[in-house]
Amino acid sequence: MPTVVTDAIAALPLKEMEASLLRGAILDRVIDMGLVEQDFREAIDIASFLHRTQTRKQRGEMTLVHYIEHPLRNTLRALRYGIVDPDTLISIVLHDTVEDEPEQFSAVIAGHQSTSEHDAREHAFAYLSGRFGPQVEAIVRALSNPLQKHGLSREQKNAAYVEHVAEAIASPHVLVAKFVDFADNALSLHHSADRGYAKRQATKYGPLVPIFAARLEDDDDVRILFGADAVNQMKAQLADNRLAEFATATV
Amino acid sequence: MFEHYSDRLETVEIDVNTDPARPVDIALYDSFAQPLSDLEEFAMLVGNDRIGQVVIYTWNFDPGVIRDAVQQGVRGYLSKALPARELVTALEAVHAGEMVVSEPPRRTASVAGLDWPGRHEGITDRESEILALITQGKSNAEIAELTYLSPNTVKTYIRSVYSKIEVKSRTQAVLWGVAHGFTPGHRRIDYWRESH
Repeated sequence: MPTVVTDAIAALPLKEMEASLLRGAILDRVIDMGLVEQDFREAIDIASFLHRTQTRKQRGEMTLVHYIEHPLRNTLRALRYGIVDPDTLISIVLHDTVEDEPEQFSAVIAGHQSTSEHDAREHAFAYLSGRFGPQVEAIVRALSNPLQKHGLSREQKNAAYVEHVAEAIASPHVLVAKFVDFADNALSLHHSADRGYAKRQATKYGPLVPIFAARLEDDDDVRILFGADAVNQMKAQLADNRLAEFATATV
Repeated sequence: MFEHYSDRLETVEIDVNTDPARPVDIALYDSFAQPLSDLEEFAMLVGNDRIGQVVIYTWNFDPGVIRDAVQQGVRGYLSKALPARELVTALEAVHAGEMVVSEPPRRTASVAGLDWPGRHEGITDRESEILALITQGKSNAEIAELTYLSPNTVKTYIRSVYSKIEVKSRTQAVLWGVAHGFTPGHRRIDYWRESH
């Protein structure tokens, strides 16, 4: 039942929301839409637990915030686009868990002591498939950057990243999940007080602008799955990007 | 293209690797994958004291664009269909103080000596320009507007270029474009924007 405060929270801009507000707003929407609340509670618990020691820059003038804000903000952003596909939404909640905390995921959540990072990742993916289904596993797998060879320069890493994203977003589910991630990492830099950070982020993410633009131009599958409104909101947000400005700024 | 005309003109290539050390008589502005409606760039070149005259080199003969360019102080508006001999003559005329606007081109095969990205992959000049615009992230509607082609013609060029570069999606086409030198060379125009 909506109350005055749930309406007020639903109207808040994402940048003003910390983890507790984000979690509440996500669960409110999930219940409204008749999705399985327990799946979302568990996904949020897993992500909150695994990311609990990580911090993140960004969000106004705050120097450091708890990392969990980022996947939760992405999830609420997707919900606000009108995305109702639970596999996509749960994958967004969990999108960085395997990449960032494979050993903990494997040991604590999946109950398996791993012998290597690769082994840990595989047990984490197997757990996701068993608990949330193969589609969630496939999306989170596509959202986890491949283990990289050592000794690559920053340029080589960035180029490999762009290629990885271009391939992954062939799937419409991954496209949406990756786009909200991109929006939080690269389209909100004007909220960041650290200009050097903004420049580095803009340099890394700038090359993704034409990749996303190209994918959203061939959007028949995305419209069918997620609706024209979601596609139009992504396009509008992409068109508003200021990455070129941040990338060339003198800091 | 100008290799046989070195007695009549000297080319000063402005690219990422070379900076012209001295002023030039004429800046030949290639409209390739550029919005010609971006009059601010013409005005900036016209107002630059290291450039004598500004000449546009293009396939686009939209009367409104020509009028606007001339109003900005452009002294030549030359077709990419001109053979080298006529192009050189037109540039000399501009240098001598004349205003030259060439005949609108009939779309036929490209002139000998004209070069563009992807030419050695068998991509035509028009396909090349469209691929460059895709690599910039432009939509089909934007490409149609920038190239003065119909959306269906744009789609036909896109299908044809995909098959030549052996890609199956627009994102793959962007990756191919990035890897093969189709990203815009902003530094060329930025060189003239900065004050030296």
